[in-house]
Parts: sequence; C-alpha cells; structure tokens
Amino acid sequence: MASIGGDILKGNTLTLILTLLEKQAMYGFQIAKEIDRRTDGVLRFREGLLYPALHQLEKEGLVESEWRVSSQGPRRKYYLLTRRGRKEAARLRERWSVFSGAVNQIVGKPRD
Amino acid sequence: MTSIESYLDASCVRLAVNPAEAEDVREELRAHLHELVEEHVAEGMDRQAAAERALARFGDARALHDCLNRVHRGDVWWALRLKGLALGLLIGALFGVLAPIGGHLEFAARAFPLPADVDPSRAHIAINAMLAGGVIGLLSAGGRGLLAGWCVGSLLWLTEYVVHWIIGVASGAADAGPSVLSSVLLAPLLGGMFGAAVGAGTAAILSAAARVRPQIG
Repeated sequence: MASIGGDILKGNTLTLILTLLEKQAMYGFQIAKEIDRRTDGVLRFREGLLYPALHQLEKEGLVESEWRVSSQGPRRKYYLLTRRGRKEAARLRERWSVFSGAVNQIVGKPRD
Repeated sequence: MTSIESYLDASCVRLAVNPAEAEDVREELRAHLHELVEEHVAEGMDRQAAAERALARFGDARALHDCLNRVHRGDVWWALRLKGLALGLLIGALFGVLAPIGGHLEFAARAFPLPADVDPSRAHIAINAMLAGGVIGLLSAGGRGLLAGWCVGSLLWLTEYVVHWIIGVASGAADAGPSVLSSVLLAPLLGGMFGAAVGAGTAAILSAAARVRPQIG
C-alpha cells in the first residue's frame, strides 16, 4: 500500500503520539517504530520532527520526560503521559472517532 | 558518524535553551539516529550508507532546527512579558510625570505625604500610570490584554477617585477631588495604555511564533 504523509498526518500528530503513550512510556525512536509497525509502514513522516512535537507536548504539560539508562546502548529519554495528557488523549480519540465515522458515512459508502 | 554530528550541529545550533538543555536535545536526537543506523546495518547496509539513510529518514536539518527553535522560544515567553512590563512601566511613568493631566489627587497627598519638592498630582499620576502600564504590559502578550489592561487601569483610577472623594468629604473639601474624566479615562488611556502597549506589543510579536504546535509529516 502507498504511504501517507503530509497534511493528513500533520493534522493528527497529537492524537497518534498521545494515544501511543497511553499504554506505556516510550522514547522517540520507539514511537516512530511503533507507528511504522502498527500501520504497516503506511504513515510516513520525517522522524526528526517527532522531537519538536514531543517537546511542545511537554511544555504544555501533556507529557513529562525522564532519562533512563539502557543496557543495550545510549541512555534514552522516555515520555510519559501526565493526567492532563490522558484527558487530552481521550478527548482527541473521541474527536477522531466522530470525524472518521462522519467521513466514512460519505467516503466509505458506495455511491447511490 | 561525522555526517551525523554535522547534522546535529546544523539542527541544534543556537537553540533558544540553556546549554544543558541544548545538550539534552542533541543527545536525544543522536540516540535516535544511532538506533536507525544500527537498524540499517543489521539489514546489511555498510555504516556510511546506513548513516545517510538514517539522516534521510530524519528530514532536513534546517527544518528541524527551525521547528525546535519555535518550540523552545516559548521558554523565554515570560522573560519577554517581563521585558514588556519593564518597558511599559518606564514609558507609563514618563507619560505620567510629563503629562500635566488632571491636576488632582491633592487629597491623596494629604493622606500619603510626599517630599515637599514633589508635585503631588504629577507624582500620583505617575504612580497610577506605572500601575496601569505594568498591568497592560504584563497582560497584553495575549490577544485580550489591551482591553483587560485598560479595564484594570481604569478600575485603579476609579477606586482612587472614590477613596479621595471619601477623604475629601470627611475633611470638608469634597470639591477639590479629581475629576471623573481625568481619573477614569484620560490618565489611564494616555499614561498607561499607550506606553505599555509598546512594550507588550514587542513581547507579543516576538513570542507569537512559539505558539505554533509543530506537526510531524
């Protein structure tokens, strides 16, 4: 399947990152890998741009970060959802559900 | 790995953060790039090709730098506000001292005696202008700051007017109090709002870029 990036992905950056962090704390490389794995490589983005997004979320108090030492390589900066971040993730997921459902009502149905 | 370090130099140069934070950002990016390189090497690439592929996946260094700077410029948001406040105080005070508005507040001078060589009306106008200017300077980094600043400045004047009027009535000279026009409208408008808007406007313009949320893609 062709990869998708650009505006469609840009508009949903927060939803993707916050949703992934709901399950567990993750570091940047891990987030990029997880997006790639769970979408079978369909969502393509410049991985460097994850970091401004993560830093902005941290400044807004939606995530917090901590350095953890890794036995397999350099230490890694993990991002964890804050309580506000969890609320925001739930809100964004709800919004996405409504939006995707509405779009599917038009795009996903055969023409009359 | 020279190419990776060159990339990090370009993407992290002169970030608007303190040196320790800048090193943190650099280390975080470096760790990600190294993991990408190791991944590609494990797939069979040689190190140089793996590094080039990793950098390609990371995106343009200049774009990353600009994006990081937009985010971290917000760290100086409050510093900019304080600069706006200081400038507002200065300009507001100048206006307050120089503009002979009202010729009022003699009662306040009785209640709070000033040195003999200080004109009480001008001194109090200056203080009020500084207060209003400071409030506006602090608040007007946001879109509604000017209106809020004017309201607060006017409220200060109104409160002062009422207090003076009460003191005046108590001392039997109520008609010597400040005029409503100069108390509530002219002084805050000229002394505070105009002066502080200059400083706060500067802060608002400089920090506007920091409010953009970066997006991947």
